[in-house]
Amino acid sequence: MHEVPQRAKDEESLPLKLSETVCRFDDDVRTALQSKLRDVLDRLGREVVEDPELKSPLPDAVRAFLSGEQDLVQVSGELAHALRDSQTGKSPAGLLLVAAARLDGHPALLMVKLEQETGMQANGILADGLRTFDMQYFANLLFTEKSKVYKVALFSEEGVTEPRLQGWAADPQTSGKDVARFFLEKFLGCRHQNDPRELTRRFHDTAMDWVNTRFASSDVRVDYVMAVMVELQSAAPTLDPNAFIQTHLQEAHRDDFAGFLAENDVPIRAFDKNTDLIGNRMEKVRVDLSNGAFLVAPLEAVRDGSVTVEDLGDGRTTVTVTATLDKASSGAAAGRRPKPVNRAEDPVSRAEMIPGLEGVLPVPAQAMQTNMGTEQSSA
Amino acid sequence: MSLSVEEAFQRYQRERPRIEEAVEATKTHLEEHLARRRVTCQVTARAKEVSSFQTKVYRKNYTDPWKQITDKAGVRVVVPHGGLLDPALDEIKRCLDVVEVQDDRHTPGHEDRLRYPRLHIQAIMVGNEADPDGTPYECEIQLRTEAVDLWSRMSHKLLYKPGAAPPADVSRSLYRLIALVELFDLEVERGVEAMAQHPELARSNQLLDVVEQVYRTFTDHPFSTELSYNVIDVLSRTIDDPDGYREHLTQFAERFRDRIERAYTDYGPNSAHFLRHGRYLLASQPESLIIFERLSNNARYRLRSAWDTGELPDNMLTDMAQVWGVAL
Repeated sequence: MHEVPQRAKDEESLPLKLSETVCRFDDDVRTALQSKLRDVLDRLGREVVEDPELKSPLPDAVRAFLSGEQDLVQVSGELAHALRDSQTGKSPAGLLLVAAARLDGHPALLMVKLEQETGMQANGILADGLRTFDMQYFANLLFTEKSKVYKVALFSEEGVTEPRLQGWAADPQTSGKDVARFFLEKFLGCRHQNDPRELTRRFHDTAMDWVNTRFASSDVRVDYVMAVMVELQSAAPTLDPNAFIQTHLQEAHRDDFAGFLAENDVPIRAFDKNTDLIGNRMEKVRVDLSNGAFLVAPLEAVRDGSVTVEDLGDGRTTVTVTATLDKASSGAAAGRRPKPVNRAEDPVSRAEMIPGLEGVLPVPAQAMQTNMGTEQSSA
Repeated sequence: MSLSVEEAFQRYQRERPRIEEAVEATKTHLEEHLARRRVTCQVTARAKEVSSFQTKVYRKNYTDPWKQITDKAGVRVVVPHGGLLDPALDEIKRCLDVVEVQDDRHTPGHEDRLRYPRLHIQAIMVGNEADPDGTPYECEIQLRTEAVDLWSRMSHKLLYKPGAAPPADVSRSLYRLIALVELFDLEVERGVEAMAQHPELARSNQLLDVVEQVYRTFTDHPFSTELSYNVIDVLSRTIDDPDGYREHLTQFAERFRDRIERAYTDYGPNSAHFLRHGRYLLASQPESLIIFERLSNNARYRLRSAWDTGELPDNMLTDMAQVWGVAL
């Protein structure tokens, strides 16, 4: 563990007073650290990959340690310098904890940037024979129960075998929405591994697939499709599948959806949202019925209730549209199913689709000229 | 040709290690089959001590001691109540080659007598081990309820002296106790049947029973049964197939045995966290296994929801989730 002072503005940095040997701790500390970091990495850890353009010394230092060229004290000193150099004047003073760890049986290097916290302690005592408490103030506490003032990175031996170093980073201070830029880019020399556009598209497609293959009830299907679309359209810069599950899904469906996301390589942790690849499918909802009728409706129409979908409980569905009829005309091409954009495969497996209500999907922009196949229909 | 006392004794000394191996294998075989049949029981086994063999030869005055001592290998199956004796007996008959059954529980014409309800099964042990004459090795299986086992052990250790009949008043005491044992077993059996009419109660009992058996393969440290019932009431709501859960949990424990052992070492009953700080409380309880299993098998949202509804302290669950490395 090394002390990393705040970087003085416009002044040359003083030499770091590095620790000279590994710090001492007992089993309580080791296991408490272990459980805390397991939790934060599982909850907020994001896959990161080295970007040589960022020119951080950290990836080479990690490789040197994991290949046995450097010992823990040597590599931690290098990392302390790298952290100090990467911090801005705003970054508070703190400590850098570097630890040898194991991940799935492989050697790994763990690093945590910590800030000291304040707190108090009350011990029951007898004062002049009378029972009371002795209270003390501390300003050097670490990892308190609800602490968020730390950032974590973990690199396993497995990640070293890739051409570019791969690992995980988590930043509870930003509630996992992102990892502070100075820590991710300047210190770790990494970027997020997954392309947010691709990840967002995968979430969308997987969710649609799940909705249309798992549920017979048209009410549930429409509710969930709407929930996905609202989530994707929200102003939040990140998408948190875990929060989505807890907010929008019925209790009985949550674990199944989480499992379905995992099967389709969609993380349950938050990631940057970018709807570039699916943006044109976010404006309207399409409902396909088994009799060939279909309906394309603006998202708003479903939200305000002018378009409703009702499950009749016998496998049939009633779609009700309440509006002024502007135009009626022939439209042979209208029944053609919208072709997904930028995708090689259809997002929904038709073979596995539940019959009755054939499917509920967002609609690509080019299919929007055709609005409705039937004003009101039962299938 | 029968062996002399000395020859039988010499042979037993030579053969005992093989008999011991065979009886241990038979015990494991019985445990597996009885567990699959869902017969809750404790199985113990032993090869007769060499000194006991010798003593018995002289005490009983056998003419062919090698053949006449039929309990060279002994297995004891103890079930919690009388309702499990017949299922256990059926399973033993099904999974072993049974030579003879001595069942004195309901001997016609003996209704007016009080005596030890002997239920002994003579069976060939697994492993195809045979004595030097080619006779397959057998074992004597004693099948009892816990109450009968208590009576039997007490009467042998404290009251019964080999080679001498107990005084009349002691005999009278023994028979009086057997009457109590019979009443006790009937009442327990009646209680179990009554509980079965309340599935919600029976389910928690059954689940605790299942998880305790698996937990005991990791540690024999005592735990709080009261806390177990409170937690298992909640956990049982997350399990759809209680009948299949025993198998499921057993497989889980085997698959993750190393990881579970590490978790118990770091946070369990002998850890500083538990002993000094009182944290990670459930890591010293058998129900922790169900929590780990639920967290591993795509049931964490259900677990979270059941826990919130059950109004149990939140950190009990979050501590276990941290131990298992799954964020809730």
